[in-house]
Amino acid sequence: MTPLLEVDDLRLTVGGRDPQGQELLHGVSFTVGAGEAVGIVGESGSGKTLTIRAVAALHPPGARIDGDIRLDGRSVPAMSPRELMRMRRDDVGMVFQDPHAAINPVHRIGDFLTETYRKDGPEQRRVAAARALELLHQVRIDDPARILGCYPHELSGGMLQRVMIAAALLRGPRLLLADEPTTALDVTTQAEVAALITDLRRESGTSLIFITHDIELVGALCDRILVMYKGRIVEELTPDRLHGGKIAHPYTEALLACRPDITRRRHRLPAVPAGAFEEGWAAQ
Amino acid sequence: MAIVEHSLPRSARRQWAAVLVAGAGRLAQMALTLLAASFLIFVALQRAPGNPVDIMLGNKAGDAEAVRRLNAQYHFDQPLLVQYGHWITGLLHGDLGTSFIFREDVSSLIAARIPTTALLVAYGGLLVLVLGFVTGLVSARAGRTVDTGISVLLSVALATPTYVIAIVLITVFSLYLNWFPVFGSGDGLLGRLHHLTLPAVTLALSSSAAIARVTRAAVKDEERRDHVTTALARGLDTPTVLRRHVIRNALLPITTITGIVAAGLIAGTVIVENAFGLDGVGSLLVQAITRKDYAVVQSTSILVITAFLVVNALVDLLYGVIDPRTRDGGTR
Ligand SMILES: Nc1ncnc2c1ncn2[C@@H]1O[C@H](COP(=O)(O)OP(=O)(O)OP(=O)(O)O)[C@@H](O)[C@H]1O
Ligand SMILES: [Mg+2]
Repeated sequence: MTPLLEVDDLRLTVGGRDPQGQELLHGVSFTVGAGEAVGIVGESGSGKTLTIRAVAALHPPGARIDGDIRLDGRSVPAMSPRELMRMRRDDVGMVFQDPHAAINPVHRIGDFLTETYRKDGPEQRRVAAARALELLHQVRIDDPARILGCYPHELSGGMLQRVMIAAALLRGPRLLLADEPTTALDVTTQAEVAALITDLRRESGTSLIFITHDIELVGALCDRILVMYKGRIVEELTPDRLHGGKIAHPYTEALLACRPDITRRRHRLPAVPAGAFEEGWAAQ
Repeated sequence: MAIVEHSLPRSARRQWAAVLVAGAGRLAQMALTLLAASFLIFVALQRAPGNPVDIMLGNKAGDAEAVRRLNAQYHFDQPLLVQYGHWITGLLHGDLGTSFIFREDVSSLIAARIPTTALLVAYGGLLVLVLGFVTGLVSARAGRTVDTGISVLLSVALATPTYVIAIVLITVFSLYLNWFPVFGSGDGLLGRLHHLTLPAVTLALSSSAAIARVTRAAVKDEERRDHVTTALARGLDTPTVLRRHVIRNALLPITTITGIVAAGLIAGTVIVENAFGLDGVGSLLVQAITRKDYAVVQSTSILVITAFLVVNALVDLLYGVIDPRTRDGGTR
C-alpha cells in the first residue's frame, strides 16, 4: 500500500545573489501513512515550515522545487492550478501558529468557516453552516451559535485556534498540517488544543504532520518523530526512543538533553550551540 | 450570512443605542466647529486691510453722509460681537444677508452656483476613485516594468501644481486638439459634463496619484499577510482571495486617504473654477474675498467647511463599517 504522503528528495531553492540561488532544503524525504501522525522537531530556521508548506505548494513565490511530493500517488508539483486548488480545499487542512494573524479580522467567524462553500449552491451552504456549528461543538466551544456572529478580535487565542482547527477539518481532509499550533497559547490552553487535534484526527482517521518545539508534546501525540537540522532530516525517532533509546545524530542528543526534567536537578539547562554539529553530520 | 443572523438579539439593540449617542455627539461637535470657524473668519475679515464701504462707494468714497448711511445699513458701525450676533441670528433664520456687489440675496446667489461646483466635485471625485484605485491595483499586481512606469507618472502628477495641469490640459485638449471647450459651464447635463471634463481631470489628477500610491502600498502589504496564506491554503480561487482578503482589507488605508483627498478636492475647486472660468462656489468665494463682500465670504466659507465636515463624518462612518475592530459596542 502506498503511503498517503510521500516526500521524495525535496529540494527547495530561492533566488539568492548567486545565479544558482540558495538551497534551503537539501533533499528532504519522508512518508506519512494513512491515519498516521508524524511530528517534526528541530531548531528555528531548520526548514520545518518550508517543508510542510511545500506539501500544499505554498512555498515562497519564486522558489524552485526539485524532487517530488506525492499525495495519494499524485505529484503535487505537477498539478495544474485548478487541481492544486481542489487539493488544498478538499484533501489538506492547515493550522498555523498565530490564529489572530492567520484569520482575516474583517470577516465574521461564521463567514470564515463556511468560506470555501461560497461558490456552492444555497443548499450546500446550509449544510456547511450546520456542519460548522457541529464542529465548533466538537472543538468544545460553548455557545457556538453566538461565536459564529463574532469577529476574530472578540475571541481569545485559544478559542480562535479551535475555530482554526474546525475550519481545517470542515471538509474532512485526509491530511492535517499543523505548524506550531500551540506555541502562541498559554500552557493549559496548549494542552487542550493539542488533545483536541489528536482526538479529532483519530476519530476521523486523518493523518497529521505536527511541527513543534515541544519534544514531550510530540512524543505524546505522534507515531514517529522527524528531527530536522539545517534543511535536512537528520533522524527519525519513535516516541519510546525519546527516553533512553539509541540516538544516531549528535544534534538530536543535544536536543533531548535540553529538555527540562523534573527528576533531575540542574542549575541551568544546556543550550544547543549553533552550528556545532555540522562537522558531525558531514562526517557520517 | 444566514447562519449569522440569529446571534444578534439583545446586543444589537445596545449597539444601536451606542450608535445614536455617538451620532448625536458627532453632530454637536460639528456644530461647535462651525461656530468657531465662522467666528474666526468673521474676525479675520474685519481685520483685513481695505474697507467695504469705500469699495461700494467707488469714486464717491469721500461722501460722509453716504458712508454713514451704508455703515448703518450693514451694521458696520456696531461692535464686532454685535455684528457677528446679527449675522448668526440671520443664519439661523435662513437669512444669509445681501451681497453688496451683486445686490442680491446671498442664499440665492450661492444656490445658483452650487450645481456647478457639486457636479465638478462629484465628477472629479469619481475620477479620483476609479483612476486612483485602478492604477494602484494594476501597479501592485503588474510586473516590475509597468510598476516603475506608473510610479514615475504618479510622481509627476503629484509634483505638478494644479494651475500648471490646467494650462497644459487647456493647451493640448482645447486649443490644439479642440476636443473640449476652454471656458463656461455648458447647458443640459451632457453639455455640462462636456464642459466640466477638463476641470474635473485637472482637479482629479494629483488626488488620484495620491490614492494610487496608497492603494498600491496597501495591496502589496495585504498580499503578504498570514491570513492571505490561510485563504490560499484553503483552496480559494485567486479572484476570491484578492477580493475578500486583499482588496477588502486594503480598503482601510484607502478610506483614510480618501477622506484627506476629498478635503483637497473641495479646496481645489477654488483654483480650478477660476482657471476654467466656471461660475461655481469656488470662484464666487475668490470674487467676494477680493472685494470684501463680507456676507458672501462668510456664508461661502461656512458652506465649504460644512462640506469638509460632512465628508469627514462620512469617512469615519465608512471606516466603522469596513473595520469591525473600530466599531463601538462590540460583543466582547
Ligand atoms: N521566502 C524565503 N526566502 C528566503 N529564505 C527563506 C524564505 N522563507 C524561509 N527562508 C529561510 O529558510 C530557513 C528555514 O525556514 P523555516 O521557516 O522553514 O524554519 P522553521 O524550521 O519553520 O523555523 P521556526 O522554528 O523558527 O518556525 C530559514 O533560514 C529562513 O530564513
Ligand atoms: Mg516555522
